[in-house]
Amino acid sequence: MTLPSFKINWPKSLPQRILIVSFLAIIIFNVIVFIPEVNRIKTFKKYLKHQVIGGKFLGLENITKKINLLGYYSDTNDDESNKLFSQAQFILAPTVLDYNNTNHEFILLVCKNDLQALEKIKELNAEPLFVNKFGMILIRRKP
Amino acid sequence: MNLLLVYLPFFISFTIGYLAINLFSSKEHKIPPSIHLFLAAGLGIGISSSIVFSSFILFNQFNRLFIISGNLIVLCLLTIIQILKWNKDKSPIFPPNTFSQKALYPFLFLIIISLPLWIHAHFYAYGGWDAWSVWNLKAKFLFLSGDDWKRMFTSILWRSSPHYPLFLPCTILWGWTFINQPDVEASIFTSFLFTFLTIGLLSFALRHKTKSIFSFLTALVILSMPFYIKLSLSQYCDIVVSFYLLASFFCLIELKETHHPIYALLAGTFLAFLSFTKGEALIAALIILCLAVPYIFWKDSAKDKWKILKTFFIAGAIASIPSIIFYGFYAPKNITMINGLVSTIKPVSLFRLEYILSFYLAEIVSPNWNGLWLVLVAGLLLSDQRWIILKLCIILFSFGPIILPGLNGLWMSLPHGYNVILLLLIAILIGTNKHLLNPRIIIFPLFFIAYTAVITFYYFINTYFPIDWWLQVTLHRILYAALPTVVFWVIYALWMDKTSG
Repeated sequence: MTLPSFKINWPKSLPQRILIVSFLAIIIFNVIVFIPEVNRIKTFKKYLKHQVIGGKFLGLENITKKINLLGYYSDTNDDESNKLFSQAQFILAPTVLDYNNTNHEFILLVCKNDLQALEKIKELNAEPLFVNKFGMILIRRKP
Repeated sequence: MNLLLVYLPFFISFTIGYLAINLFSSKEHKIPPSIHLFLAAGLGIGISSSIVFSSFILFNQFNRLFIISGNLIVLCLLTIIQILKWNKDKSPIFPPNTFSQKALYPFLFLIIISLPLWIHAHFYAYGGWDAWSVWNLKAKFLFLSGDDWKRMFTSILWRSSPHYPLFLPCTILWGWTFINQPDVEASIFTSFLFTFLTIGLLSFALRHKTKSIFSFLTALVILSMPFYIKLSLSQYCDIVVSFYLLASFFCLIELKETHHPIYALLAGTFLAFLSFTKGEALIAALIILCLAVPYIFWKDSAKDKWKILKTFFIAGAIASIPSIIFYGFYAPKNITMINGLVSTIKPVSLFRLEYILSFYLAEIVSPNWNGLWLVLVAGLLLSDQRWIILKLCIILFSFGPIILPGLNGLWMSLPHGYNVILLLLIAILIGTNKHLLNPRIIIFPLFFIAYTAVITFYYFINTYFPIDWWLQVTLHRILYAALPTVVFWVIYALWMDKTSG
């Protein structure tokens, strides 16, 4: 296979040449900036094959799949807990999660520790139905 | 085997699109082969996504049999028609030299420079926040809810923007149809495919218009940018918007120059698909629709204009049926909206407007873009070489204080509203650039002025979100979606024969 010959028509006007040179400069800069990102991913890949999300809620989706609407209680309210909630919603879809609303028959407790979870269960007069290995507790309010 | 079952639907869509364009082409009216391939993929995916949505309208659920058979029936019909057409006029399915070495090397180049994106996309398998909280979430609801799929429009799920249309989720569903499970590979492949199609269409369209090999430099500039790759592999809908926006403009430009009915059909169809992708894309599609009619007619003495217009509107009307049905019967009200013009709790203010306009300037010089937007704005200003000194001074005063170290103090000490005045000056200079007002490309500045005005107005009056947070998380994605179209505009304007009008 021989290399085809491409006729290169060099740009004739000054603005065209400035644009080409600017693009070449940006490409070089992009590659320089890109190298640390590539190395970062190479480091991550030693430990993880790919990004994982919602891992803390795995196992729950088989239990909740027959529940249409699930309350979701978290004892923290920051960016990280909002992210966790979005991931929980994705993992447990098509069950709809109602953030920080405990007025539902079934509620998912996402608490810092078991003690706070137990206190909440007592407060809500509920019984635990399922606990996964990450401490996510599915509870049911007693009638 | 599982991977093949994920890719198979997209191959079917591509074949549908290819044969559909062939059907409406003739010996006299042919699209360049390379561009045909990219437009075919976009057309086919749009048709398949519409068939998936039809399943929910007709059967009120994801009906796998209907979706597969619907696509296969369309494919078979088009294949039969193609065979009959080939028998009749002996025209080849693939034009001569489609697979020549010279034609294949640019594709090889694109594939090689897309490899980092492919590898990254498979590491960030679930994409960005909005992928798992909006687009892939909607796809899961559609796939798993049975006949209770409308549950995803509940106001409890306000974080997932239930008023957003369903083009991307339906496309992901199409990727799940053969494998019959919500496999993450379909989302990865969809985002990669649309990025590849967008960059490929940009490169080959510019090559077609400028006849310059430097057109492929645009692919390298964009695909080597870490921020662009990050947004592409985030699996958001912005890349879908980006593709159909570029495809619509390209087809309108070609329609204006060649009067080939195939471009009227494609332009109308792509605008309809664009309207079904995102809320702001619906606005963009409506603006382009309003501009398309005078654009096609202006300074044009061709006799077949009415026929072209009829083809454009009929194709657009048919392709926009999913969009009309969704917005008319299913889309819930946008609850993340407070009209600041009438609200006493969160009213608008002039400071809000000034903040928005200042943020536009700041985003253009943001280090995320590595100077690309700055180069494009400079390209737009300098393509008309009148008042060159004034323009260079404006570029220096607009962006110099932000990007040059040590001048930040100067920037902060300038009079209140200085940055707004500069932004308006830039807009006026671009708007009065006689080169950009060429009838062949005038649709670009008109569209971007109108689109920017509408977006700015929406940012201004909707006071639901704090403006600083809202601009930070959304403006860069609007720029990302518009970037390939702006690159096309700038390069075409600079390379266009200045003597032709």
